[in-house]
Amino acid sequence: MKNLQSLLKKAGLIFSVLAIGVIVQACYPGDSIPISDLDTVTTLYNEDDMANPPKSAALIWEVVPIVDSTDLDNNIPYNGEVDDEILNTTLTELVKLYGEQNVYIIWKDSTTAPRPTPVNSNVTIVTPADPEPNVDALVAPSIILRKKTVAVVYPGYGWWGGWWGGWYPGYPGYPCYYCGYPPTVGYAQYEVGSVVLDLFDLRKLPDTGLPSEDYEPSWLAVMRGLLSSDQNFNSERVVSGIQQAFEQSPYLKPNN
Amino acid sequence: MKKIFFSIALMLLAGSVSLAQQRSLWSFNYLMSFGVGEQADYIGKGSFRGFGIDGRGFLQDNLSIGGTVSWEVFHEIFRNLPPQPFEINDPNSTIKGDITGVQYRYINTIPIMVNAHYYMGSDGAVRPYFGLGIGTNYTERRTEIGLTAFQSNTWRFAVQPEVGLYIPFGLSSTGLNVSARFRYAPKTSNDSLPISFFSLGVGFAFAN
Repeated sequence: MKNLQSLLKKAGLIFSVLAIGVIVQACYPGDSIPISDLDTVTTLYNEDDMANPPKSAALIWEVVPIVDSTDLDNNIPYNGEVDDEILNTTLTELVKLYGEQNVYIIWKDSTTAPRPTPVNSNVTIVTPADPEPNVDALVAPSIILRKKTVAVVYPGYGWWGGWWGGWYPGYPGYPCYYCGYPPTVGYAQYEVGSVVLDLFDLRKLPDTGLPSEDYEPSWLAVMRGLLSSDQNFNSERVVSGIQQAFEQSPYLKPNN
Repeated sequence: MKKIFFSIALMLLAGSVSLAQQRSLWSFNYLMSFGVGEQADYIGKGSFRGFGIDGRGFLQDNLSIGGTVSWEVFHEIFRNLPPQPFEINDPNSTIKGDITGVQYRYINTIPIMVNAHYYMGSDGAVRPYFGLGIGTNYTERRTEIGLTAFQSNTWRFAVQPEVGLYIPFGLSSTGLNVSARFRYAPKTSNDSLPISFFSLGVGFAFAN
């Protein structure tokens, strides 16, 4: 009988120790997290802009890689594998919002020629040689390839003026109007692999003179960490992330 | 009548003598918990990660006071949630935002309570009991969206009524403890979610 009691006591103690061990490991269960569970879509807008959202837009047909040019090892490899998905999904969403006749593709002929999907094949493509399109907003896609972002990064820096500056009214032919005035995006840090869409309200630019340095996008979408080693998976996540960004923001759909 | 009174008195006396031998009761319990009310709106899934230690000292044959400490982990993954709106404080303008992502929600609770229990039955037999615990409940609530986490850590007042059974293994001083508890800890200034859940516990108990 004493042996049985002793055995039971030992079993109880072992059970207790095991239970403590299990729960110590259980404070935040879910260590095996699928990578897509870490995807987030964040959209930002200024409430003051809600009263007058844009009704037309031009999409820059280039996904600008945001890289660390001083330390190439700090960048993840990327050769435009999901550029088509980023550009075409964004274009489709813009057409849904504003209609085909109110959306333009801006193409600088030194970059890859636009390949809009057949459903958007009637969208007008303009180059800097063409007359400036009369649109309310400019949409600029970029992708974060630098692993560490230790300060504010400027997706528009360096190419923004090159794209649009030549057309800016009052300064025809000015070669790089915005080179010194990159639009800030208000995000101190990005996750590597994030896709960023900036929407600039061109109506907010002054008629003459230089814009203030704090000229910011009116709408910003950040699709976090959409690159992995699986190309098909990346494509799906990019498409659904951009669709979600357009779907969720009240700024783009103020009447909903 | 006198015979009946005498019999009852004898039984009580016998009970006192036998329970006087049982001066303390320790139990180590596995806990399964199920949120109700607003807590269930936040995490509806039951918790199967819980463990508690209970120590009781007997004042009388049918009355004990003691303390309890436990740990319950609630966890649920939410997909396809609507976007969560948020605001960024900017002195010059109001920046608003919306974030969409899979949410991992967690609640960790650790109560530290004193309690009192009343027992029926007699020593050596199955003993039903009921009691009440009062104390504090440390609550850590955490919502993760992607790599962003929102967390609150609070100490709250808490109460915990309980019913249970102590089932001895034959004549040994070891037994099985089975209990059902309800814990309530009101919301605080730092966290608007009240904690309220039922727990079922089963474990080993050691009487001395």
